[in-house]
Amino acid sequence: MQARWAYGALLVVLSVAVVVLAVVSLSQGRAPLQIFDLLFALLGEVEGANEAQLDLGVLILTELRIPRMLLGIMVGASLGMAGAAMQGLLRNPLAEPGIVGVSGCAALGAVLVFYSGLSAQFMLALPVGGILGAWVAVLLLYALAGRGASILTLILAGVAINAFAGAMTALVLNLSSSPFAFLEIIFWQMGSVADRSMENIWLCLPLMMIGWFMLWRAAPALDALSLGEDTASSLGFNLPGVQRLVIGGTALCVGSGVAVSGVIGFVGLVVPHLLRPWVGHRPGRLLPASALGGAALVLAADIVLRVIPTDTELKLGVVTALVGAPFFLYLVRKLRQETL
Amino acid sequence: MGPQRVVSLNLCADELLLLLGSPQQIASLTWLVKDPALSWSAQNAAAFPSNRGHVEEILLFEPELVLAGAFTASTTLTLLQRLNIPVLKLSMPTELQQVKAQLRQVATALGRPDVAERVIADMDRRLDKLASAAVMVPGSRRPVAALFQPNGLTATAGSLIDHIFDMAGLTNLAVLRDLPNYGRLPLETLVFDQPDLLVMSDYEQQLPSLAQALVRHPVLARTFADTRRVVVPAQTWTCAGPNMITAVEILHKAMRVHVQDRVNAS
Repeated sequence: MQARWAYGALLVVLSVAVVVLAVVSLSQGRAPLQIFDLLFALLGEVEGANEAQLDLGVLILTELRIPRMLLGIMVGASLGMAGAAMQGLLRNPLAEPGIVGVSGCAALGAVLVFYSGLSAQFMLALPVGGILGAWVAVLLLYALAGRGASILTLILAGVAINAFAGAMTALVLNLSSSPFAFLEIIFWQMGSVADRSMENIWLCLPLMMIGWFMLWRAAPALDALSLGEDTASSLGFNLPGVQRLVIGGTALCVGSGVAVSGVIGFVGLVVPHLLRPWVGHRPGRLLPASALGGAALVLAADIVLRVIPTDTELKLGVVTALVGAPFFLYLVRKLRQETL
Repeated sequence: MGPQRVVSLNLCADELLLLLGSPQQIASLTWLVKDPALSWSAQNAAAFPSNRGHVEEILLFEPELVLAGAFTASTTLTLLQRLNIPVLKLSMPTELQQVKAQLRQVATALGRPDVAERVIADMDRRLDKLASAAVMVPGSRRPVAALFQPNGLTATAGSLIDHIFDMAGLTNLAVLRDLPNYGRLPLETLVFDQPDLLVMSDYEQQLPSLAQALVRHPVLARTFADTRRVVVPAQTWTCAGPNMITAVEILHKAMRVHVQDRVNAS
């Protein structure tokens, strides 16, 4: 009973954090905007202020900052939830879309679609490319390291998938007709939600939502799975069905996210780990909590990089890696001590 | 009689070689100069063999002179040096005087200094014509222009393009905002500051490019009317040479139109 109460409280706290961070996110940027005036203006209460200036501010808010904030939430939630689901399915604490190469393969899919010119003819091709790339990676990962493989096997599989995705991406860029392709993609792969438009949001949101729904549907089975595959089967859960939900859901939400925002690493690793003790170590409950936590983390990182006074904005993936990589090392060390 | 079998390893060197050398002197150009999206000399370049800057290819031409760019791989240059092949390494001029000096330097190395003088005289003639078309700017405030290229790249203080803006009578927003070298112009700054003219380059528009998405962002369509946009073909200022005057002419004309509009409006 107490656990359920604590879980509810956790979700409330995380939701409040996401809302607060979202408002702070709207207030940060290169243009000096009076964010609350603008929000009131948006709600229709314009006070005689400088109209032209106000219009410009509203435009910056609606066309630049709101898409940026929404995309941060969407991508963060996707990564957090996908990380929690993969860790639940593989019963492996180091499974994370970035580390095991799912994001890298999604990037490869997006790059392929993009530089072949397919996405210029047919916009939806970009997220679909990302999703297919992510899907292939999750399938490969499951084939190589599914069914209770050791942590070592998982990481090795991830290294192989990542290396393959990196090499193929380089190959595609090598063959690209645009001499600037390399530079573009190097920056793009560092991940960013800056200067995106509502078009990007409409492009990936429906696909992402299907992904979230599939992962959410897998939650009860993931709880059962934490007791072992045999127990889960005897409780009446259809294991291949769960696998399909998690693999498909991860591919949909991570793939479409990567296609618009590039690779943002470590979110799916850090967030579920920090939240796991708070949900009574139940993988099913970890999913919604990690979605909120991931959204909060990406929003916070995106705020940090705008607050740091650098001439050129840092990339989002760089900031999450600065936090995530040491955390990853810490986890590796901790796991090693446990197995010794 | 200048050097024979001259090989160029750099797009900008290609253009200078085509402009200043005689066709008999040219042994090979890079593959880049044959791309009409990158170079206006693509047609003239078509007849010559291409190279991709590998030392083995270069040696096959038995060059008496190699023209290299500022960023040609240093391993290549060291090798050529060891093989006693004379190399002229071009710098990257950032203002008109340096451009002229480079034209003279390359023409002299090719044994044709008079060609450089002809090219320079023509450049000066075109600039004089612009000076006579100058307009009175009300309140002596020069129009502000911002270059916005794919990925938000802009031209900052001390660059050739900044110099071209200056020659066209424009103030560069990136300089006003004190952006660092090779800086990016944040989309938000661009929208908020509302420069008088938005300058874009047309290169890459036909090619698939992620970076292009930024240039196509709907917020730009909503804040910059077509009359405030100027498209400068990238071939004009990718390399320092007489083509840069074309960029100055295009920008100068846009500046005059803008000032005229302002006068009419007031």
